[in-house]
Amino acid sequence: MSGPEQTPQKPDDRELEDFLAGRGKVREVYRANAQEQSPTAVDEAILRMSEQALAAPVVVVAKKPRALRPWNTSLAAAAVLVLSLGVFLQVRQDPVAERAVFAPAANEATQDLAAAQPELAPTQAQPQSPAATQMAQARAKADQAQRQRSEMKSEMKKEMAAASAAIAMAAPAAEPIIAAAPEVQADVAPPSRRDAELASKSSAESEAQNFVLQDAAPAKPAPAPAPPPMAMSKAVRSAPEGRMAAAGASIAPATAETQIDHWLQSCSSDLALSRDDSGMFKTPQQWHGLSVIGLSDGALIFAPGVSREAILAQHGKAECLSAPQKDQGLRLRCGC
Amino acid sequence: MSVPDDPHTDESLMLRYAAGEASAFATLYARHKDGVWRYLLRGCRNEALAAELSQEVWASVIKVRNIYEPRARFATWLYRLAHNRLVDHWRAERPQEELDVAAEVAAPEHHTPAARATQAEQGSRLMQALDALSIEQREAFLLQAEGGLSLEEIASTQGVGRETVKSRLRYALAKLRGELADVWP
Repeated sequence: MSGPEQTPQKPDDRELEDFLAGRGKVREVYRANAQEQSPTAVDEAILRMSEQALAAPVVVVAKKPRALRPWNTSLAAAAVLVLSLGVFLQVRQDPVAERAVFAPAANEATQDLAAAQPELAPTQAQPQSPAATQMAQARAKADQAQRQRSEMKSEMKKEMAAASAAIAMAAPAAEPIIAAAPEVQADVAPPSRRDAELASKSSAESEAQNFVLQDAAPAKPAPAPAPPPMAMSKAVRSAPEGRMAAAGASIAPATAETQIDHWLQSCSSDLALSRDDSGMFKTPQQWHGLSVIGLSDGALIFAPGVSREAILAQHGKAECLSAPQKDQGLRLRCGC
Repeated sequence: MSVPDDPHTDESLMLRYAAGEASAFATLYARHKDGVWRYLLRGCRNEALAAELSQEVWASVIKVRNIYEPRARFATWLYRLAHNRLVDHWRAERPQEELDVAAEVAAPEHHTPAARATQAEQGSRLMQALDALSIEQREAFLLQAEGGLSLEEIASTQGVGRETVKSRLRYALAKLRGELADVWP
């Protein structure tokens, strides 16, 4: 630790100190040149004014305390009134805000009353005035609308979740189904229409209750005319309506078909169809109108009577077909 | 600030004037009239306007004599009144301020050809340089040079901090010195 450093004083500070002390070249030159004097006429006028002021009676106007100035108080009152009115009207126009502001107080009052007089609480807690009755009715309507909205939302969420799960499993298999069964395309409409109706209904009801659905899907027009099969399969993967349609197609008709289709493409064995140890179905299944009796050694086994042409009509690759023995059914290899 | 014992201080004179002694005001006025006049003249750069502002400042002193309390130096209070008048004037004249500055630079008495002939070249250039300072710097300079106000009193009058006043004065002095660098070593 060393002592305080002896730093040389800056020139401008020395100059400033000289100036403040009444020294310095600048002050000297200024003083020598600043010799203007107040005009005599001004001097006389001011001195006369000072004498007249002494001759006049003394009127002391004490300054009022700031808080007691009348304009101050009235201005504050007006501002408070305007602001409160604005807030009150805004709260009254917004049911959500109104419920947030008034409902807790009402609930607390009801609870207090119930706690104090349990047997009288239900009757005495009822609103007495017409305004209070209207408020209670509005609150009940708002609650009902809120419940409906919650129900609709949960329904929609459930459907969407089921559809997503189903499409994850059956989307690849949906292409041949859609291609083969044009009537499935007709099923595209109902879920979409239902979805649109649900959305429009919920939004209409919500608007009637001054609510706005934030997370509901907007109502969309009816789906476009069905594109060709391949284009449809792409639409199925991308558009929400298509996803719903594929979900409907995969869930509603023969699940065995879709499962077999899926198995043929992926060769996975996660089939819910009951089979015996050798892979034969306990009851023959239908695959696009053709009788299938089992799955074995990576191949789909058709019933003995199913012709080669019928199979090729559903599955275009002849090299995937094989016939182990004459009396046995044809086999269609998976993943082919 | 307590009531001064010396009957000849500014504060005592003001109190005596408030008590009804007209001569006390005359003494007080004689002490400060020229300083206030020059402060206002250099602030507004117009003799007629300076006369008007000067009367307003002293009228304020006369008007409030009965509620005057010597809380601070009389000079500080007086120059604050003058400063407030100047600020009112600047606010009223702001749209034309630049034009006025240009027009009035040549107008003051000490810039006329006759005055130049009699004034030293050095002093004339210093006054020109003073006119060229910013309002704040010129005010700080004049409050000290004419009113003898301290840094704290100038800061209080201008409504800024002490360091700001120091900075303004440093710049003002540096500019004035720089203007006369060829004359002064």
